[in-house]
Amino acid sequence: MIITKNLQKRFGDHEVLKGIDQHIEKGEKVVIIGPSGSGKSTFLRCLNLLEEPTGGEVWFEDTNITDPKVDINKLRQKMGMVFQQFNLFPHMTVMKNITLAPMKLLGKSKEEAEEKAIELLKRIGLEEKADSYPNQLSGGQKQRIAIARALAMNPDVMLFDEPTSALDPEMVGEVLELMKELANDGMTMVVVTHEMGFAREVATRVLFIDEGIVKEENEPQEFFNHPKDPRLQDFLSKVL
Amino acid sequence: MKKLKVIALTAAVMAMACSTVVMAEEKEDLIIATEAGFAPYEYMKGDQIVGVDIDIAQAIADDMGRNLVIQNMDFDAALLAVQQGMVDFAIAGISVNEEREEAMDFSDRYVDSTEVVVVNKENPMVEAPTSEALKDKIVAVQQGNIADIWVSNPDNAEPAEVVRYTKFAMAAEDLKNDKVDCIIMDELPAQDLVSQNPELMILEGDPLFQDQYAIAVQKGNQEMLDEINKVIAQLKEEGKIDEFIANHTQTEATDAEAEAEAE
Amino acid sequence: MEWFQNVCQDFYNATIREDRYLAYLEGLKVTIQISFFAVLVGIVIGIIIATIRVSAKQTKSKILAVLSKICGAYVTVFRGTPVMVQLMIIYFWIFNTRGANQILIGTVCFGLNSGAYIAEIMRGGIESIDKGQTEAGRSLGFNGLQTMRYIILPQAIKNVLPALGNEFIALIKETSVISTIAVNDLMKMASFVTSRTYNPLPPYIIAAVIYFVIVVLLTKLLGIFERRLAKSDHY
Repeated sequence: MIITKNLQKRFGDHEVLKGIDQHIEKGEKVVIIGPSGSGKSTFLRCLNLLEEPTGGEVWFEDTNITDPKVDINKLRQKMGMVFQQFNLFPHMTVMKNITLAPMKLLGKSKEEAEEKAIELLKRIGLEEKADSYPNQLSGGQKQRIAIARALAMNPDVMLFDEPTSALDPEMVGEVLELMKELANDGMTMVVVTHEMGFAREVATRVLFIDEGIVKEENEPQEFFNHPKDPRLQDFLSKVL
Repeated sequence: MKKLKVIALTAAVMAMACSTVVMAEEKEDLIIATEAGFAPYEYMKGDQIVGVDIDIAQAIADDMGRNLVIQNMDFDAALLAVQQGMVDFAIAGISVNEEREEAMDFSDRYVDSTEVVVVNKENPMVEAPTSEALKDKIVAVQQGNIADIWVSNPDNAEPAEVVRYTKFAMAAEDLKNDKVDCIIMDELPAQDLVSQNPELMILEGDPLFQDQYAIAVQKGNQEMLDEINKVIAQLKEEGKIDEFIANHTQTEATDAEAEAEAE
Repeated sequence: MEWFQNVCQDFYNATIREDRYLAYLEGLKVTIQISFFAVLVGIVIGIIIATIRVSAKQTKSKILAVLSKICGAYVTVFRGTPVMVQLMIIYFWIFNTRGANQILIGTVCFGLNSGAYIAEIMRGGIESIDKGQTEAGRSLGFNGLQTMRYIILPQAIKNVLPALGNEFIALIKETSVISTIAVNDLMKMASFVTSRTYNPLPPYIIAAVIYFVIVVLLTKLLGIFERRLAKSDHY
């Protein structure tokens, strides 16, 4: 579904990604871990071109999206993204947050969009918050709404950029729970996180990105129990 | 900061001291108001304000032994300045009418004025200098000028619109661009205006209406009025006023010729 | 008592006599029309310029870069010269034809001038919005313009509303400059009445009161608008 070929990204003189080749298949749940500043978030943001790669290619559903001729806006509709800081639209109610993109981009009617939104809100258990504004919500609620907003576009893949890092500890659980449900429903997911438990439980594959390259990748059992790369061993010993 | 204050204070004290000394030595300045866009009565020559009215004012100042100080302002502002007593008198081709006489006092008339109609030469929108021809036209005047008051009275004319400018130069510019149909103004300044703006011309025929100019002083200032009337009588007797007019219209003409030759 | 009678007489002369109150109403109409349309023009220009200048910074588009330069020059020129000078230039060189509508001239002049100031206000407003908002919009599939329109601008406008309000108030008062080109706005009408009554105080006091009332009403209106927009800030 997503293929990166020798993906590179530099900010000025600083080389963040030094060539990453990845195949992410439909239905896969890929969890990316690594020390801060390793380039794991940059890698994720390159997948939907929020960061423009400075070298290599990204393919999504058989289209080279790094080709300037491609309508990236159209393709992004199929790639939901969830941010560390939620990035809900503070000037809109929860309902409008969720229905804006389906109405303006998919041409859905207000009724259609709202029906779908209510369905999503029910699913995440925040139905009664439809008319609230984002800053009336807790962090965990905000992040669940943000996930619902992305899901409203019926994406083929969901990208999560440290979705629980900005949350108070007691709220991490509700967000991870929702992500697990999504995974069980068969959603293709790419998740950058520090939640090793989630990686162990949900991932079909775990990547360790360090110094701009993928140092190690494996299915979670092997990855966590028998890490081979010394940097990964060191990293895991600190976080586990 | 403190130093600055001290300097400023010293400067202020010195300035005050100087001015008192000057005032003690000389008589108070004779301050007059005018609008220097009305040749040949008053106009700018270089950075100097000159003209028939200014010559008369100078004669009055000389007679009184006072130093003449000229304040140049909009025409309506000049009338206000004298009405408020901010200047000793206003001399600016001022006509006398009833409402003005309520607000200020006027000297003896010192010159006859003839009001004419100026139009665009290429595209004259008004046919003749008559009240009838002004009907439904856009008429430009100087705000507060006698032509403004004359044309604003429906008994005199029924124009579509009266556009009131503070400067004749601006009215002339708009007339050239056909924004207005004509300007009503005094004949002498009109001749000057036309000589400066060859695109414009004065409509031939009898004058639209006639009037006389006087000098305005603050209501009740009889002393000043007597002095002015004395000098005006003297100037008239000596034929000086005609001389002034001849001087200023001639120099205007020669200037224009000189300019034409230079071109 | 005599003093009071005089004042009454002065105000009578400046209003009732020869139906002069009609002059103020006429002037008020012109002032409001010019201000209203100029504000609209100013907002449109301001938003367009601000959008171009901010977008040019975010992307590498050459066209946008050139446009941004032009907009930058526009803002610098219009903020760097007195509105009086701009008015004269527009009046004598651009709208120098017969029947050029005075309201239009005022709208263009003050709209262009105000646009330059509003552009800078809006640019500040847009730049104050968290980058994450743009990213969220783009990640949903909105293009740059849509993101600006649906997500960034509504928030930016809310943030800069007080500054915009100040600009509108300044603009209304600034339109009095148009009296110099013989347009019959409120200011011109006050000077016109003065030229007839030879008593400047009543007409200018009346004009001042009218300007003041407009500004107060506008301030109130903006306050209501601000509160409505601030709904999303309540906890």
